[in-house]
Amino acid sequence: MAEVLLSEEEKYYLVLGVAQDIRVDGRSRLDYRSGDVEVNTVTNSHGSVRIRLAETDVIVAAKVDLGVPKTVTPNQGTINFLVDCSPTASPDFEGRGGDQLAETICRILSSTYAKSSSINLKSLCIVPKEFCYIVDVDILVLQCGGNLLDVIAMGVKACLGTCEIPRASGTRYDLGKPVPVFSRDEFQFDYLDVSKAPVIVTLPRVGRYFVVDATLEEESCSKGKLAIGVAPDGNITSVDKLGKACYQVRSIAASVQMAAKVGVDVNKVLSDRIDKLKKSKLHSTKVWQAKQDDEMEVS
Amino acid sequence: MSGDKDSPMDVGQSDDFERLKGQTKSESLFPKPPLLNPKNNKRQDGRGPKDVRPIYVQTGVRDGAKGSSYVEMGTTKVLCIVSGPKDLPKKMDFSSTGIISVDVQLVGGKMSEKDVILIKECMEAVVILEKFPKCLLEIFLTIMEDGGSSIAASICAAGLALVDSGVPIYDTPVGSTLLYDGKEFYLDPSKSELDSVDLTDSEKNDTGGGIVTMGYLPTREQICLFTMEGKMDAEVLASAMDSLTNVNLKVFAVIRHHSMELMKGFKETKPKVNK
Repeated sequence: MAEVLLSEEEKYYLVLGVAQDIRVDGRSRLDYRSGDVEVNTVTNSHGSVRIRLAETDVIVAAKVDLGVPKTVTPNQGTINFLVDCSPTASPDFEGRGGDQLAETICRILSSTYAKSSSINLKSLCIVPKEFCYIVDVDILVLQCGGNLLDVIAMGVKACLGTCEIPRASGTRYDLGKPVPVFSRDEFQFDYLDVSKAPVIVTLPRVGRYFVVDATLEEESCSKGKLAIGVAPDGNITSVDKLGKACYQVRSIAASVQMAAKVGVDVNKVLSDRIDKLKKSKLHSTKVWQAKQDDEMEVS
Repeated sequence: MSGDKDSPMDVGQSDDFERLKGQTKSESLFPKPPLLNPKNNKRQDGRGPKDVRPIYVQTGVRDGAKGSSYVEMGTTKVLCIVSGPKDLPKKMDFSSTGIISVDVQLVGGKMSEKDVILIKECMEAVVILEKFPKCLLEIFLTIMEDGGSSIAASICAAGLALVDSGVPIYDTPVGSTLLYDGKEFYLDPSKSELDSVDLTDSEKNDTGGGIVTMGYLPTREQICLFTMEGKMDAEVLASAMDSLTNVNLKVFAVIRHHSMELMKGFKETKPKVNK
């Protein structure tokens, strides 16, 4: 992760503040910074989102391709992830510097979305054994202001939730082989159901306490962190201890409980935002259609 | 970009995009047997759900190496060689504490980068790096057979090799794995058991299911490696951690016995080269 250099006094001030539940920017240990999600930032993809949380800025874009289901899961589609830590985010990411971080984040996302029933992959299947959707999710880190994994996970959930999957209106048979038929109307699409998709709550350990949504400075004061994936129903979808610190069993158990509570709230706020974004998208496309009709009448 | 334009043949083959093309994950297309045989309540290999597979450890398996170890956990076989501490190569920056590099070779596959990073960070937590500034410690792991629990076996092997090499460490790490299928815990799962639990099926998986791997420092009672994937309730996860702690203590008993033998007759335990 991008590192900042802090003097010993600054670190001491930060750690003592966290112990008293007052962080450097005035938040309590369990407060998130403010941010927002925008859609349709990348026009040539099926779904795209730009998510910002204070200084952390990430673009997530999803492209949907037609493919063949894997032989071992014939009635499921697939979701692939690729994370690119751009050098604009931090000089550490230049060349191959960001690769390790990107791989770790990628792996966590892949195993979360493949193995924890977050998205019903069967909904991505068009014809079992023959055709399925392959969703390629590309994540570009523009600016790293701390808490990168959480922001990426929220962005992925928002992107997949607002991604327009073309609607296959049926199959026709071409020389005996089934071929999917897509509707000609480009405004006919489906959304993926992300109501069970998790977010990740990263808890770095600053001094003796865990904090939520750490800034770069707080991360540089912590030797290790726990990345905990939390589903909207409070279940835990992944836990990874990252960093060089060691934890007692009860420490991990307590932080998992804390992350579960925080994660449920974050999921709720994010789901509400995704619903609002979907409604605004639908509204803007209807307005565009109506406008077109008017113009045709005039001419 | 991730969307490689593969032919339909290739798309069905590789599991992870980061793996090299051409390496297939050999999965059986035949129906998978249930984890627990309902007739006698035993697993497919005859164990009870809480039984761990037999463990074999040996140190000093490579004469030329500073420290080496060989660990077998059931059918999983891991060889570990420790080399160093030696001077940092010129291309690396100055470091006031030691630097550890971990290289994992998995025969017949490739361990994911994230798992290698987890092992590396575990070793960084275990070795007293302050004792050798400007030095590099290399840990080479070769997983000769992955019969399940390969990360756990790697941790045990690396820990033992460090003991054999005399590098100062805080404690001897041990590792173990647990499989949860929604109803029960299965300790030290074998590869066929791990493959038979399909975590991708969202309809079957509402009750949960997951794989938990834990690296433990027994004397300090601290966790040095922890990873979980799947879907579990927080309380279930807490009791899984308790089960894993117990297993780790059992594994440590084996390793501790060997370490004591090693300390007693250091020259005798190392295999002699026949002249």
